[in-house]
Amino acid sequence: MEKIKDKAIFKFITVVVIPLLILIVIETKMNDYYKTVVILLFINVILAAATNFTNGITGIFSLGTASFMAIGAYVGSLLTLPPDMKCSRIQGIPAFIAEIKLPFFAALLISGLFAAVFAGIIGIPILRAKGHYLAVITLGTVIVVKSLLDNLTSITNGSRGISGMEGYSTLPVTVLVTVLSLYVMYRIKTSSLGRGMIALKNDEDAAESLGISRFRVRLFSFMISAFFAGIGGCLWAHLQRSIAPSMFYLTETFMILEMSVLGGMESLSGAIPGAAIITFFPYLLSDFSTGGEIFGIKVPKINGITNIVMSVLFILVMIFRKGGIFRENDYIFDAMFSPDTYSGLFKKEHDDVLKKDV
Amino acid sequence: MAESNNSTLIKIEDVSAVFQGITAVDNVRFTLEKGKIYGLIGTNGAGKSTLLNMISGNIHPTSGRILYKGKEINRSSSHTLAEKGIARTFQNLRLFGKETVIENVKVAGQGKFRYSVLQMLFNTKTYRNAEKKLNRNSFDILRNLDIEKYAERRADSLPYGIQRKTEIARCLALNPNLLLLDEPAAGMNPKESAQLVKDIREVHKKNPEMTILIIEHDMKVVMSLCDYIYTMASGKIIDEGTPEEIQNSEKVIELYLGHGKYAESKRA
Repeated sequence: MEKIKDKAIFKFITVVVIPLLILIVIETKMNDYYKTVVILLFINVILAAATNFTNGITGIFSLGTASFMAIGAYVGSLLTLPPDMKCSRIQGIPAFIAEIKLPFFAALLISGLFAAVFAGIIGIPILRAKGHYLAVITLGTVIVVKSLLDNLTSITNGSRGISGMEGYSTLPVTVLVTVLSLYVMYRIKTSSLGRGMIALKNDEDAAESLGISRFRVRLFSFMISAFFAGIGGCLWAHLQRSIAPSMFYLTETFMILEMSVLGGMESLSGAIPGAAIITFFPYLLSDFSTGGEIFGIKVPKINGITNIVMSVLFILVMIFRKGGIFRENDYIFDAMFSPDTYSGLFKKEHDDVLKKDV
Repeated sequence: MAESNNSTLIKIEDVSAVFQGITAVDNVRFTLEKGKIYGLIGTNGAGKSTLLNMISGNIHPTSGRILYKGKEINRSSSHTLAEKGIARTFQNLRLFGKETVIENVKVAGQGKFRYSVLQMLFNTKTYRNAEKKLNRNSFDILRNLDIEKYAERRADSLPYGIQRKTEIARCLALNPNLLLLDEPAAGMNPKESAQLVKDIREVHKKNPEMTILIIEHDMKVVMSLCDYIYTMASGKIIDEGTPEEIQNSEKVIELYLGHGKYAESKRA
């Protein structure tokens, strides 16, 4: 007999219906402050998943997600701002940039493509490096991108940044983009490309001896990751409606890394618990850091309580669950899509063989 | 025998490999013909593995030429050679330990079942059929080696002999013309290595076109499997011949046993 947890209807309800109902409640009943936090969660899920894609699945430890996010945010903002606004806010902006005005979804796609192309260009030299060296070089790209944004004043308005974007990143839009992004990344992970990536992570020489091009696969994975980081950045810009170079610096870099590691680097769905913890905790704890009354209990003001709790939590997870919360299991996606792509079909056919005592 | 005829698969012409002044392989020349099993023996540090690494593209030779089906492959990278049909195993096990056995085999076999990124993203029929065929193909390879019941087990959780077999299965998924085995019996007990000999023979029977080159220290394995044996010492090939010839070769006996009374007594 089929177990209840394997039934299609059960999966459909737990993975699609319940989350959808929760989102509809949030969208209709909650105030803007909480809505913003939930939207931020979804954007963080994209960013963390993009990081997992390189760091956990392909095994190239990149810290550069924030730089690709920055490129996505700036490109997206420049494409959606009305021309007159760009001219008045950014002095000396080249005419061809000022004149462009695109619909949001086109801008979203282009910002992702820009980030991917940038990753492709820098990836060709830097992906020759391995391990820690690669981590340091990608951290370098974060710094380089920040100083570029600071100094290309005629396009980026320097350290003052750009503001006045429309709030296109509403909850339905963000959820749609997040689901699509995760779906695409999961599909790639379970395809031949993804198998190549996982093989490279396990053992580069062995993978190459089986016909997998180290350079091509790693570059492709780096670019895909940058594409989604760029999209995340563009969504982020249209949520905050004001961006500046300092927002895409080391704090953001390590926040993304924390989400990715906490949820489980080797799992795409691990991005969800990771991002949830890192996004919600500061808001939950904000009452403590300002002092006041919580559930009728008087709480003294504790400065920096957010950071302390987050660090302790992080250390505890690293000690007791080294691979992150989800480890390498893609619980959510495997439950959704397993039958055709994975060994689902194949398992059914050969169940008798596989059940043999080994 | 200057020009390569149709039956020659690999032809190595005066190949040397020098690492920072140390000559690991010194002006070696030999040929491998289609459908035969070759052995490469020699003491530690003789340059056997270096030679194998050069054929598989992991190391590029300092001088000389390596011809595969008549074409020079000196500078080819290992992944292009793998696609062209040169498969290899490693001295120490190099399985993707966290993956299941079937996934290990699928990685190698996927080159034959291609689809575009768009077909994959939209989950089209072409994509699903390719994946299905890949599953079936990989499973058949496991079945031929009689390890299909381990298909869904994590590779690093299996006994050593099975892991070795998985590595060979992975190579077979490439559908190779040339299979290079680097010490396949290392770390095996006599029973396991006897089984290995049986398995390799079985594999060769099913793919009679395939050439196999085995580096091995276990003489029982080499002598019972190989049609022709090359012996290396300090980077050079010192002798070659059929197993009987090698067993009686003065040079080889001297290499393994040295001079003196003990060697004399062994020889007698």
